[in-house]
Amino acid sequence: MNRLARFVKKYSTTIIIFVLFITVVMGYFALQIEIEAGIKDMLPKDNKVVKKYNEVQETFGGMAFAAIMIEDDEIIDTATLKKIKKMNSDLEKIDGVKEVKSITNIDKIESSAGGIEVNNFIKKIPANNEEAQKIKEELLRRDQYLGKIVTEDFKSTMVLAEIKDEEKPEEIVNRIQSTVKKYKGPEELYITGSPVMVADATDYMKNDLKKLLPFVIAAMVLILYLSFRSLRGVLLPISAVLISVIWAVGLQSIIGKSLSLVSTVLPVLLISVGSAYVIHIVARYYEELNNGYDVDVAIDNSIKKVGLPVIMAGGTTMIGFASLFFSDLVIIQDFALGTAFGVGIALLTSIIFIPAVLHKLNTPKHLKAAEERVFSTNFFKGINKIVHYRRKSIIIIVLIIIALASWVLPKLEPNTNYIGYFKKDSPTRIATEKVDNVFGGSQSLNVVVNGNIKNPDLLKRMRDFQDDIEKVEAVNNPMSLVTLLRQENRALNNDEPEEEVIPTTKNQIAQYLLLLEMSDKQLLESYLTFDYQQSLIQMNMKTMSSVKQKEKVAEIRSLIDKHFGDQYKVELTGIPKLGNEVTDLVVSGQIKSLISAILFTFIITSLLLKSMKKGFFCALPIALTVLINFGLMGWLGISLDIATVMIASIAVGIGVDYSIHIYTRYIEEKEKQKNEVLSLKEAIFTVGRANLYNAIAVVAGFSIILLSSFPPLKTFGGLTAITMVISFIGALIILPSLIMSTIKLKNSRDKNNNK
Amino acid sequence: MKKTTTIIPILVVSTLLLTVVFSAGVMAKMTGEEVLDKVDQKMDSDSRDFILDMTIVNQNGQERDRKITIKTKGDNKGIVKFLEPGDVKDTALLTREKNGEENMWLYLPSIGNVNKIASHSKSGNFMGTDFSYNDIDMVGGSNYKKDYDSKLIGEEKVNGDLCYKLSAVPTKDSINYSEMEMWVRKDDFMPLKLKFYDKDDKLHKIMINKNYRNIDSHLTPETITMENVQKGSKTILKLKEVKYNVELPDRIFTTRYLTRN
Repeated sequence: MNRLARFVKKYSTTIIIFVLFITVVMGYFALQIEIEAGIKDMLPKDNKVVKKYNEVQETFGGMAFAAIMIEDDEIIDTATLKKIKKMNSDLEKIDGVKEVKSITNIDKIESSAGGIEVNNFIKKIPANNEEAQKIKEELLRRDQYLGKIVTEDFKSTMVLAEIKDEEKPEEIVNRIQSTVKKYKGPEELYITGSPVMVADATDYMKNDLKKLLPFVIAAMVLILYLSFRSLRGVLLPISAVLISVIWAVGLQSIIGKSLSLVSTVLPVLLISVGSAYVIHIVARYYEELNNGYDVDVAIDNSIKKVGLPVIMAGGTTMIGFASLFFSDLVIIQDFALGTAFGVGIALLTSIIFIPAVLHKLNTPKHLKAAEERVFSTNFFKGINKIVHYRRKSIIIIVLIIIALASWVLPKLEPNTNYIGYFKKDSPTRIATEKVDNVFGGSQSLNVVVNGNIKNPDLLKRMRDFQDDIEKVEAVNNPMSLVTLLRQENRALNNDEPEEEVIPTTKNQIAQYLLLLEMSDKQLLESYLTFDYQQSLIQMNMKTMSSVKQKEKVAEIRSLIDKHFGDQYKVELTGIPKLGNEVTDLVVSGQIKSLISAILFTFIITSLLLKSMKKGFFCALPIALTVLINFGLMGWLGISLDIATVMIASIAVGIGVDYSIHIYTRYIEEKEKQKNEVLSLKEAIFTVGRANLYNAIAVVAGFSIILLSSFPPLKTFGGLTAITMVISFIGALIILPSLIMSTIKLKNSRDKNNNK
Repeated sequence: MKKTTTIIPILVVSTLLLTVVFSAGVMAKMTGEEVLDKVDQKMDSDSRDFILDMTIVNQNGQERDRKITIKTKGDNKGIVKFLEPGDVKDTALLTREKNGEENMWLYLPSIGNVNKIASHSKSGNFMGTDFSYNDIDMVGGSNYKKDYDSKLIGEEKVNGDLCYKLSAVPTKDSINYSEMEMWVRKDDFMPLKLKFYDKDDKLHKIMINKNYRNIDSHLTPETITMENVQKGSKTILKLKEVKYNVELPDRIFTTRYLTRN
């Protein structure tokens, strides 16, 4: 530390120039950071489920749709149909839109003079009510479109825009949205679908970044001003944490990472966590000046005396964040990397850059920073009393809390459903729920059947499977070759409804397919590969909780096994499958990162304090904090999601600092005073104050995340803030109570022995 | 970027000027209509009987192989029949033109009935290939002059052969192109390359005829490739057995004959 202090003073100019230069470079890269909110982006690229999804997407396309629902008193009339037709053709012109399907261009396989024809169902927009009435009658007669593209009451209809699988689907969605907007009124329009949700989430993320950053900076300015009451005391810490934010985001950008749903909170988090370190340094600097030392000595002492605890606190925080790297979710790994790096930079800035700047500045005029505050003194007096006289109640309360928390632990459920990322009153959520209710789901689930489709046995199994799927609740509108071949057969047999059956011999199937191929090649390509070896069955699924969704997917899987057995390889994919994978990885990642966070913290504290017992004492309050966090989640019905899954590790990383500070100070005092009770009191009064400021800053920072547009992030912010308060209390009340109890226990044992 | 954008119009204008000057000399000799007339004459035959291998390659490079026979008589009767693969064997398509109206019937042996296909399918895909029905008409013999109004726009080499370059506009609504560019070999008036533009004037398909052989005093390409550049798929036709001016009785071009096999 001595050497560090000398180095800082000797090379202060170089350090300042170097840091500012790197910051400018990092800032340049930070500004280019991309934002990604897709479900696929959460998962590793080599994940099996992702690979399967990509393969099917590549083979059949058509897994990403923007679903536009139009609601009106009457859909089948001249004005509305004209409007839909215009919208359909406008959407088709958008770059990145592959195909658009609506009631005005939906295919119909119909009989024509004994043969078949694939035509638009509505060949001509009806000119009057009579013609419209005829269309309605035909829609009712052939139920293939009802509930799929138009409702039975003709009050709602669907326009589906298929989006090409490109790097930037959000831009395509934005173009679709602005086109659709032009058609609003008098009809109501709702727009949803997986790519739309992702694009909306991206917009919200951008807004969040813009909204949260000024708030957290304002909160920090306020806290810093109240602590130091000087311009310097505000500007220096703020610049230190902003530098760490810029470097962290810049690094992410340089190594080709993007900001995700969870890393939206990264700047807020770094600012609130990082400010603690610089507050400690600056506070000590003022304290030394107040004691009459000159700038040079003050800097020396700040680095020497506060440097090590700051490094320890920062180190454990880095470990907490880094432990999230054990998650299997890419977005959480990226978050781990960004925050751990950012905290490291905040740490280095606090002990190198800030002292270097202070070295260049004159002695400040105001030294209010170091003056004593009456309120906090009383606060610590109270705490000291509690520890002394109420420690038994404290331990009983703790035991009750442990029991209560453990009780609900098994009830904790993961829920990572994408729709949950939107507030209940957000247009995205309203649209999705609307489409779910009216059209039976906006998520597409895909079943790929491997085997030659000309094999009548396979086609029959597909038919039976599809018929069973029709009966599954919340899964709707299965579409496949079975559907097409049934319609074709009906068309070939004078449009008799009872002729909606599949061909039954190999040659028949082959020739039916040839006929379809000749009539409309594209129709076939959406459901069958060129070599006839893979067929797609596509269905819609409603959005639901992750647990229910898992059950639903399992139900479909068992139907697959029932109908296809081992004879055919059948795969299930789609957004719900990706969602399930995220859920599974959230749970497995939670366990891995939590265990590693607690373990590493225990090891580090044991090493630093040179005793396993002491390490255990420090880890205890934090383990309790983690348990209470999960208990709160259980009692409040909060589920594990991509954000809440991170709380435990973050709590360990940040929260353990308080315990470390209290415990080290207690040991230090014990060696000096030889009186355990007084040493404990001293520790509470001195370190407690620093802990309090630190906790206020961190709690304020996390509370600001409550302003986020994403419900999971709000929950994350709120819960982490509560967790921070608990770990603060744990370090200041529970840990001292435990120490006090062991002291008393030992004393009474000593007395007994003496007797 | 800026530089190229100003250079490109200059290049285009100068190329156009050069072409005009250059083609003025050519046009003194022949007009586009005359070239097409020659092509039609050269390819004309009373009847044809071809067997060909058809390979359809999709955008992912996967292939479908089929063997078909095409028989035509005059310019108003034609029948296409599948020989392979076995599961579609004898599936047949009959086309007849009467009083300017085209009729198509399809026979599916597995069902045993003949189905009429709407005539507007003419601009649709021929048997799931990259050829439209109109395109395939040009394979056997041609009706270029009837179907297109053409202009000679210059001379260009295609694979070392000097060709007339024509720009042609379809005369019929059933042809789904805005323009066709055609390269016709000067020596023998054989079309070597054709480019088709869609209604948005974007390049849609490229047809290439290769290895002309003289069969029954008719020059016939050995392979014909049609590439759909927009979709990335292509269809390769290999003409296996080629007969011209053979005796084909009228009755084989009837729906009744279709079902008799």
